[in-house]
Amino acid sequence: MRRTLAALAVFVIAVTAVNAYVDRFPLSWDLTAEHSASLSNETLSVLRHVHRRVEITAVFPRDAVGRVEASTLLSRYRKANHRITFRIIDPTLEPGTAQQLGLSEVGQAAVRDSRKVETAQYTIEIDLTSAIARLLRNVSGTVCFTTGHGEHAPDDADQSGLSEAAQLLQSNGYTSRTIDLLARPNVPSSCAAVVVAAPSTSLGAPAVKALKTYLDANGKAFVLGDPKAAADVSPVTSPWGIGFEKGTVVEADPSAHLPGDVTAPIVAKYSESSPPVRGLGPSFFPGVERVFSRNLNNPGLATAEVAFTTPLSYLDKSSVKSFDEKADRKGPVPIGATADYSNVSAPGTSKARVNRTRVIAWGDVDFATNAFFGEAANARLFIQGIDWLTQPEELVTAVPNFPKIRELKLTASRSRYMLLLTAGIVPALFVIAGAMVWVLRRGR
Amino acid sequence: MIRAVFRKELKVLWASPLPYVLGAVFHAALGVLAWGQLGGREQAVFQPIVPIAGFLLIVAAPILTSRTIAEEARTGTLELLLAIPVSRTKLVVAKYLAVVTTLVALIAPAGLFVLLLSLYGSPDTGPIVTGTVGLVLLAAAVGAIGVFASSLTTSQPLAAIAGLFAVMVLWFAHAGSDVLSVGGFLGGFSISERLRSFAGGSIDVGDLLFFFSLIAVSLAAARAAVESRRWR
Repeated sequence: MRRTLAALAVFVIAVTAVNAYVDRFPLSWDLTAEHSASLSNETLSVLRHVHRRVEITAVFPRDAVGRVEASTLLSRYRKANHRITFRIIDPTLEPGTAQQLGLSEVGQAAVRDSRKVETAQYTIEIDLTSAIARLLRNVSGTVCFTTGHGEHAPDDADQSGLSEAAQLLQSNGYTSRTIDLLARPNVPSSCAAVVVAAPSTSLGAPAVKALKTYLDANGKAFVLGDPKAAADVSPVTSPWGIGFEKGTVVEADPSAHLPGDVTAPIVAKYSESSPPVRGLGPSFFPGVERVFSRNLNNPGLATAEVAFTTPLSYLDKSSVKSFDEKADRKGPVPIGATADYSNVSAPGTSKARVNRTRVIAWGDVDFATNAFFGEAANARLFIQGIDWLTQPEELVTAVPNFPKIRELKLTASRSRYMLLLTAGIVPALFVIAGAMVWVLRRGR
Repeated sequence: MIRAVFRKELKVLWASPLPYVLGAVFHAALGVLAWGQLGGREQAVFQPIVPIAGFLLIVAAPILTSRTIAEEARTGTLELLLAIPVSRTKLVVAKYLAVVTTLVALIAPAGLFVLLLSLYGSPDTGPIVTGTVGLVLLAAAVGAIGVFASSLTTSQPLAAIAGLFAVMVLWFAHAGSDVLSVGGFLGGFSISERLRSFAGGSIDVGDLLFFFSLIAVSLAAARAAVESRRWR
């Protein structure tokens, strides 16, 4: 008897050990058509860089919608890298923990290691991976907003201000500050990125020179124009192959602009090949001008137009609110562009180093202002752009593999029929079969 | 030997009212709960059906398996079986296979959902295949746990309660991992978490190994429990 029990104990220990070993090296087959049961390649790439313990704490009450999905997603992160642990807390049961981690809303998640806490706005792959990427980066990037030329300001809480954008930067691990290029035309090298938010007066040569000097030295810029802003920001972006064209985009496709406002186009689909906009949901631009890219024949410079209005739209340059073939430009109109310049200094030597300048430009500032920042995917458009500017290539946003919507064509009568069949007839068949067996047995 | 015990066990099981009552209750509950989910989503997806069927299965399985060894021990027929030169392993495996066959037959009509989903939509076949594999593995695992519970006692109700308690603990193990912040350690023992991977459309080697391990450990323990009767 003792030998049997001992053998059983050894068997249990061996089985547990094999399970623990196999769990460390996840191997699975995703049989879904869209590979939606797997983490995206971008996420897996980020997770390969996790070499220290990272804990994810998500906030969901016990009966909250999305808790199960969040748990499934977090399990995938853990399976992909066992240094990642997770827990889901109920804010009503653990209000102190949620508060300590700065989690105020259901669905948020805190990603932390021994040094830092980063917040994911929602417990979804794109936000979690972005938060982990920021954690890995382990530096607090400073985003500098230019002032002095009538730019929209990060400390302005009015409708036209950028205080909500500054708050989002803060919750995503950035610090923000302003730099007055009128009083002191110099961009500190400590700025991880500089935001030029639709100046209303011309920047002037000293400010443009300061921005050029900064960008030449591996700088990163987020430049916003606007049809309503008198100043032209092209001098900042043109050395990097991006230009702004004055005028207001008029969107004639009723499904692609805000109700009742043809000058507020909605961009529903972004370029999948461009990281700063990849995977974005629809966002809108209340009053937007054209932003275009051009080839400067510079082998180290890659430019791209990343967002377009529909073919029914046009750039209204004559302000007559109807298409003027001579003056206006037919759609689709590009309204966002990126430039990515890189070269290697001292190639072939031990001091070889990759230098990189990045610029992202949008023809509208309003989407980032307090009036519209919280709507559609506008906030994500902003933060994803900043992430792209400031983070290493492999740590930029991940795009989840979304499952296709498979409609079930149910009518009331079909529902009744299906319910009757599965919950009525099938159980009845079991009962009939049981009764027949009972009758047969009694007959013997 | 295995075949003879297997056939006899199947015959005894299906001669009792248990599979019919459990089958009727299982499908009535599954029908109502699953269409509630599918109606709310309005999508031709098999995923929400799997955990519902899984939960109903873990409730039904211990009741069905409770008699396998406990009843034979109570009536004394087990002693007769043990008196003849028959391998304890073969005896346990044969009874186990009969139970699993019955459980699979019990849940098989759930395939009707696949037909109906295909009739009124175009479901992804991947999650249907993996979900079915997951449910069969779950049936095999909870069947093994039930046989083990049945081998511990001569009381059928006690075996059902013990089996139910064991599978419930395993089903809800992940809830402990949420609360205790053990990074999914307890979650690793959760059969509902393991089933969720299958329901979602993926087959994980770790999940397969987990279910097979659960079966092997439960059957080994059942065999040890049967063996121990020789010493009583």
